[in-house]
Order: sequence, then structure tokens, then C-alpha cells
Amino acid sequence: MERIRIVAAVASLLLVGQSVRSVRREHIRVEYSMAWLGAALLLLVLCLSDAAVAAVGRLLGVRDAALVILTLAGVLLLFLFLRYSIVVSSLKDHNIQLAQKVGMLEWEIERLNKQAESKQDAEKPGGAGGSAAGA
Amino acid sequence: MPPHLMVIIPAYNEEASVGDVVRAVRRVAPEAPVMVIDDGSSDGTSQAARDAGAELLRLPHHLGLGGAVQTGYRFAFEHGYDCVVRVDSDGQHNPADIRLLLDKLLGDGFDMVTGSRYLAENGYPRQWLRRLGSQIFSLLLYPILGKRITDPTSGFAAVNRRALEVFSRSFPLEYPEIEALVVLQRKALRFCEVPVKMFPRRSGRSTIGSAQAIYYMFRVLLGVLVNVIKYERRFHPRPKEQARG
Repeated sequence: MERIRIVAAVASLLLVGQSVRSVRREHIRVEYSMAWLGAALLLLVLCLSDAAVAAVGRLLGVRDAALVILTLAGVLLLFLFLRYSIVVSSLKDHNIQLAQKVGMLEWEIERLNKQAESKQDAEKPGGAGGSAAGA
Repeated sequence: MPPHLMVIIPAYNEEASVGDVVRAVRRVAPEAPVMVIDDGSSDGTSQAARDAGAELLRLPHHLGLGGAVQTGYRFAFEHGYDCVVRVDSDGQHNPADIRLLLDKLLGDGFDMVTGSRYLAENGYPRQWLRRLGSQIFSLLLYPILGKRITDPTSGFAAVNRRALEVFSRSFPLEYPEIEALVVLQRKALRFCEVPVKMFPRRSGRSTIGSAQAIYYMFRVLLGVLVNVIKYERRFHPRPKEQARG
């Protein structure tokens, strides 16, 4: 077996191990580990199976097994980066909406507190009665 | 002043200037609530704004200028305001010009009116790099907007309820001014500029340093391009229940 295939196989196994470990420790959610696991397993199959490498090589028009593995690994990585860019963008959008909502709700709570305070002041015998804040 | 006007002032670490800006705005528009949106400042911006008599909306963490401005627009839209004027917290905008923006907005039926420091000679210090940038953007935006905008980076703006509705749903996060124009154009809303006086910022640093200028150019150009080619659903199918009924 070519050295590059051994290195790639070991890297795939490490990736599978690290993904499982991260899921167990709740560093990665299961749904986000699936893409890494899928990519690692696919790479592992390619490293171990001559027939699979030959088939993909024919598809890409490449004879060299090492080049096939590297090309596929590169393409997989690009797709994974794209997928996680979409996930991060979506999370950022949600985060912005939540932060805006939190700010507005805090303003509302403060307004209600001031209203309640001024109502209490007004109800006290001889109370001055403050002005309610609010737009 | 229109009855349902709100003035919003996005602020990030502008402790030194925000109080003066709030007081100046309140002198010009005493009936309008002035809302400072504190974008997660780590200095005394909130306290300075409160002391000057502003309403304060604090964001839990730093969102960036676009996120802070959109918070103000969303707030105003959800609370039923008819128009909003945005004034920067660094003291560059002259609150006395708010009336100019509103007169144009309400009198001529525009959806957004921005203040331009380049439409007329007004004593603004000549920063050649900024002016060059504005001219390049103005040139690039001309075929998209169908009109010449002399100061596309101006954040001094008045918007009506229609523009508020659009911006409360879709507003660029980073360097929002130029993209906001394209967003309005896409929605077939009308906008124009009026000449205003602007001052050099009183304190703090600009969000665009010289090193960031190149990133700014590319980021804004990409944002404009994305807004031009953006896919939007043209058809809104009715829910099944309604369709059956």
C-alpha cells in the first residue's frame, strides 16, 4: 500500500475517533458530527479499497491513487466548509434577532417597572406621583 | 415635527460625545423620543445617554452598526412610529438639519432622505480618501440606483413607515449605508439626498480605519452585488386551509 494511503487511512481513523469523542463530551452536536463522520468513513473506504480508488479515478480521469485520494479529500473539505458557513450564518442571524429582542424586552421591563413605581408613589398618601417613561 | 417621530442614536463606546448629541437633538425635537441603542459598549455610554435624558435600549452584546440601527428601526416599527431619524452618536451630524430631512421626507413623499455633506459647500473638512471613496461608490451605484448619490456613506437619514417595515426585516449588518440604498431600490421605494452640514467626529475612532478601507470596499461591493442578484420569492402561496376555504 502507498504511504499516502496509509497516512490518509490513519487520519480518517483519527477523525472518526475525534468526532465520536467530541460528541460524547457534547462539544459537537450529533447532527454536526455526521458530516465529519461521513467524510472520514468515505476517505477510509477509498484508502482501503483498490476497486473504489480505481472507480473514482476513472470518474475523475486520474490514474494516480494518491491524487485521487487528495482530490476527493479536498473536495469533501470544501463542501464541509460551505455547509458550516451556511450553519454559522444562520446561527448569526438568529443570534442577532435574539439580541435585538432581548434589548427590546429589557426596555419594556424597565418601562413597566418605572410605571409600577410611579403608580405606587401616586397611591401613597401624600405621594408625589412620578412621570411614566415610554415612547 | 411629525406626531409619531422617533430619533434613534446607535452608539458604541461613545461616552464622550453621546450626551451632547442627545441634548442637541432634544433641543431641536423636544416632542420626539430620543432612543440611544447602546451596542454593547464597555464604557459609560449608557449612563451618559440616560443622564442626557434619552431612552436607552441596551443590546446584550456588540452586534455592529447595522445590527444596532436595525434594532432601532424594528423597535420603532413595532411601536407604531411613522418616521425615524437616525443620528450618529459621534457628533458629526448637525441635529438642526433634522428638519431639512423631515421636510423633504414628508413634503415630497420620499421613503428615505439622507443628508449629504458633498451636495453643497458646507465647510466639512476635505478628506480626500473618503471623498474619493464616495465618488467611486457613487459611480458604481449609478447604473443600479438610476441616480447619482453624492454621499453614499452618510448615516444621517430619515425614513418613513414603509422603509421602516423593509429595514426592520432586512438591513445589512456591516457598513450598512450603501447596501441599504440598494435594498430600497429593490423594493421600489423612493429616496433622495439633501445638503446638510457635517462636523468632524468629536471623539472616538471611526469604524473604518485606513487599514480596513480595502476590506470595506470589497465587502460593500460584494454586498451590493448580492443585493442586486438576491433571490426573493415572487409568489406567496396561500396556506392550505385558506386555499381550501
